[in-house]
Amino acid sequence: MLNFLRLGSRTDIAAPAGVNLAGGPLIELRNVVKTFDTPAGPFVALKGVQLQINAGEFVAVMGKSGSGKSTLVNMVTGIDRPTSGEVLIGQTPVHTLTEDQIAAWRGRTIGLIFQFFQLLPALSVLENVLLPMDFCGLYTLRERYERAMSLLAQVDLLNQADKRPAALSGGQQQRVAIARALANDPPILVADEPTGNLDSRTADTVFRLFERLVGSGKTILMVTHDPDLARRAGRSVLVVDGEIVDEPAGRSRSA
Amino acid sequence: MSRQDGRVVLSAGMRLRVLAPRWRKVLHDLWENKTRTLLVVLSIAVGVFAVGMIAGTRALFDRNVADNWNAETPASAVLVTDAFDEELVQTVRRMSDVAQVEARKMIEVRARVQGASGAWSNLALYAVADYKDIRVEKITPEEGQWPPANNVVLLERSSLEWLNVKIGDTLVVETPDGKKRELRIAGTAHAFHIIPSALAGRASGFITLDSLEWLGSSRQFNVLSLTVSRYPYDKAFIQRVVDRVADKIERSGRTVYRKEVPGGKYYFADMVKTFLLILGALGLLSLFLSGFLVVNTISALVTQQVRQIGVMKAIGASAGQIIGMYLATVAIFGLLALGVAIPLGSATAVGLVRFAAGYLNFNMASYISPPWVLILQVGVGLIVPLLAALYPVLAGARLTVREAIAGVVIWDLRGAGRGLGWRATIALARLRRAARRQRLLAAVWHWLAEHSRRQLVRVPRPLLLSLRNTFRRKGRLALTLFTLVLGGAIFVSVFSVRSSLLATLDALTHYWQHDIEVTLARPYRAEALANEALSVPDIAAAEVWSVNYGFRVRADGTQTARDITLIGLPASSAMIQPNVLQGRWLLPDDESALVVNADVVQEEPDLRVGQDIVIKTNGRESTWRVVGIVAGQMAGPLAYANYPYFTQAIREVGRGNRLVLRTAAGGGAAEAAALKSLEARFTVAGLRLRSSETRSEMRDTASEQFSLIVGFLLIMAVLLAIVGGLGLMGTMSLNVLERTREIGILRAIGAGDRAIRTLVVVEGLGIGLMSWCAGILLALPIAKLLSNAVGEQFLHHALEFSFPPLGVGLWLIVVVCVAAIASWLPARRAVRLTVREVLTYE
Repeated sequence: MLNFLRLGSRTDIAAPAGVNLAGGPLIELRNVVKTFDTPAGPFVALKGVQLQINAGEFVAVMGKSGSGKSTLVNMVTGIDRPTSGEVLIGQTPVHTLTEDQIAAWRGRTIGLIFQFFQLLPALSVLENVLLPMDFCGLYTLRERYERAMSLLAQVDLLNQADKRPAALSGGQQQRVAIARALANDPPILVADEPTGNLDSRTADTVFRLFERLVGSGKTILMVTHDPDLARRAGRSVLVVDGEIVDEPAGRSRSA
Repeated sequence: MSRQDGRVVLSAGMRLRVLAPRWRKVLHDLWENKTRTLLVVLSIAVGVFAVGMIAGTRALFDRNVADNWNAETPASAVLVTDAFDEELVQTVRRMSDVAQVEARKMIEVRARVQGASGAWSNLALYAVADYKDIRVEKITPEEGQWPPANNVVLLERSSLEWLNVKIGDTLVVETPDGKKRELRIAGTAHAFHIIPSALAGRASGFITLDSLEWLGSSRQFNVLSLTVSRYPYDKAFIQRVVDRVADKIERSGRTVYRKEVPGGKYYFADMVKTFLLILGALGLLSLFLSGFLVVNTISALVTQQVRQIGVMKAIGASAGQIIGMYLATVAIFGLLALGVAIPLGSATAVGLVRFAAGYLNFNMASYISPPWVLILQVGVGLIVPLLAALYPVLAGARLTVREAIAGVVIWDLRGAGRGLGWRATIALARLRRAARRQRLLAAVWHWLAEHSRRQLVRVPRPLLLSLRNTFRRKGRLALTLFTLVLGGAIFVSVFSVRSSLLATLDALTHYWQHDIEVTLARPYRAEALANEALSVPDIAAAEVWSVNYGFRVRADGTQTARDITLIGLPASSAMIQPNVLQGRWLLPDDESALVVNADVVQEEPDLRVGQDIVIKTNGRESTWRVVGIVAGQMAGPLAYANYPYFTQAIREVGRGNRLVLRTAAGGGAAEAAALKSLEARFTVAGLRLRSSETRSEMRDTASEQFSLIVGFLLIMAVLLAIVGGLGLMGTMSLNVLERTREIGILRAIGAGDRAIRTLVVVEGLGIGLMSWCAGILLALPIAKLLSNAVGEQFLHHALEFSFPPLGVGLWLIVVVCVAAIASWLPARRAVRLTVREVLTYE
């Protein structure tokens, strides 16, 4: 079956760059405000959000459509920049990095999992998993293949390695996306509604995968609409109209 | 591969798979989007092909012509004089700065195949003392006998087809003194310095001096060709040497009638140079348009892949890596295009030069273009697409992950030009302005939609959707329109130039109002000539002219490089309808008045109306006042004077050597019949003809001279039509590709095949028709400029401008067909997709 613990504890994999784990929260948002210019005028998506997440936490971000939850995780991944405030990931001030610096940092620090998988259709399953390592140049060619095959083995898709994503089911594609997210062994996984496009049984399989990853020391930030899944996460954060409403600002809970 | 004890063991094949996944993605994208790959490759290939074809043609043409030209030891100058002998040759040979001298005799006779009763053809016969020791303007044996024996003729090879004869046939020739002799065609020879028969309107042949005597002419020479010992390409230097030689000849009591100073250049060099420049400009335009096609296609490709770019950036790709991937894609497109365009361009260049070789009568020995042509094509095939792709690729790579995953369209990006340099920013601003202008069209659409809703105007809903779709991708629409409009404008312009050339040809033939022109062997009494001619029943009108050759003697004593043909004709001549550019035509009372044509002004740029000039003819100088300048007639420098005064000046009062006639019926058959009757009449009267030409023959000869340029221009027109067609096809394919999901939704809500097809095809036709209208408007100034340029080169004045409906109509047909095909193919693809397929399309 799945074997993430072994993968997460590999000693031959270089420590991820750009993350300083010494002391303090792994993820910290300080008074983050995000305003979008829209034809109807400025729209404030995040209103001074304070959030701290420690290493090894499994955090579910809940909220209605348009509440600002995706904007919140975009701040963490560096996909978007705050209008004001600070975003510190492992004490790296992400909001100060250039686009190119963010790309390199993200490749090593954050594994992204999307609702619609976003696998590259032209590449095989194996090549999709190899791609982040290729971009970040973390491993030797041989190591990349070994690592990709190991990851696929651990998501139980070794026998699908040479297939194209289109030939796989939704659940299988999401598992490939998870393997790809783990390719550079990032300490943080950010999943934007990873089960939103899956049936309940497949969603459960994926969720159990996340639980094991958290068990192996990964920190997961997951956007979801599903209250049941949120309950199973170690901690849940509710975003309403750009504000976190269910925990005191600036407080964090231990995993 | 397998798993052993929890470890993954890689198969040998896997270990060898060393190509990084991103490069595999590049290759996969190319392979899996074959239609798109084909379109981009063809877009680039068209530009590379145009450049390769033109550069290759030019290189091969220059090399082959130079080889032919140099192999002949071309004359630096040629003088036509009174009869001279070997002694004069030796004298000139000893002169300083003269390297080689060659003497020959040239006589003009009329010839026709033995037993044939058809018209006579003009034949120039050349005789040299020793065919094995020709030093200047060498003649190369081709087929049959060499050197010519007595009483046979070796025809210049271009004359064989023109006379429609073969080796072994016998020609009946009529000499200027009326003798008829039979000359067997014993073989052929090649002489590049002699203008090919089809262009010159006469045949050429080589005989011995003995044959010449047998034909009734003297053995003495009348043509002197020489080369200079230094500065062979310095026309001014050669001119000075020629003036000294001419002076020496004239001091020996002989008259120099004609002088030609090619200055080391072959006779059509200037024409070809200008023509290749025009062709080069059209080639660059094709390249430019092909560059636009690449911009269009690559930006669409990047737009299509924006989401994937976002994903790649999300998983760690830097902007540099993304740029590298897409530029590599473009470089592969370029390489594939080179693979298609280089062989095709080379083959076409060889074909065109081979065609030109047949047309201009030179041998083709070199078939391989020089390396610079290849380097140019490789540069164009790789650099132009990379430059063209730079903006869309940079814009795509600079998208933030959020923008990319949201699927932003490259051309709609706000501020995408920031940091890309002012050029890109300006280009973007222009596109935006163009897009803003299109809001007017969008307003039209809204009006139609609104009125349709209220049932005031019945516009079918799918048609409205097509119209709206047309303006959705404004940047792409602007580029597609630009390509099509420019392509169409050039296409129509090329037809306009062709039509203008033909109109000019008509004007030229109308310039000369006579149907038949007869040159007599010597001057005869004008009255007798006219009376004999008018006694032929088919001839309605006749005029006698006096034609001579002369030179302008400038104030410093130097003379014109080329001789001027001086024509003495009645001021009120009904046989000429001059196109007066400046000043006036001759008046009956004019005495020393001279009207020159544009070719004379080209040779002597200081000439002005009202200026007095000195003309030397038959060794005598006389002063004339230039009263007018008329258009050139592709007959070289001509000057017209009032017949009575002119014949007085050349001491030929009341006599003439040219007869111009008008037939009663007109037309080729009537002209030939009248000429035949006239020849019979003149033979009886003892009046000897040297040469003759009917209006139909004159038109054929002139038309032949235009055919090369018209042929090449048509090739360019077809090429531009292909570029435009490819552009539209590319746009339509990409539009449909991008709207795959939308088409799926339309199908899901009930749109049938016909509705989908109509949607796409109407959009394509709309773009095509818009471009057609704009193309026609743009064609007017372009056609005028192009016509002027061609006219200046060939006639030293603008062509008779003609903007025919043929080009406009043909381009409409081309645009409609191309638009229909270009949109039909993507439409077919769209209707074949199932709803499930299109809704899952990524």
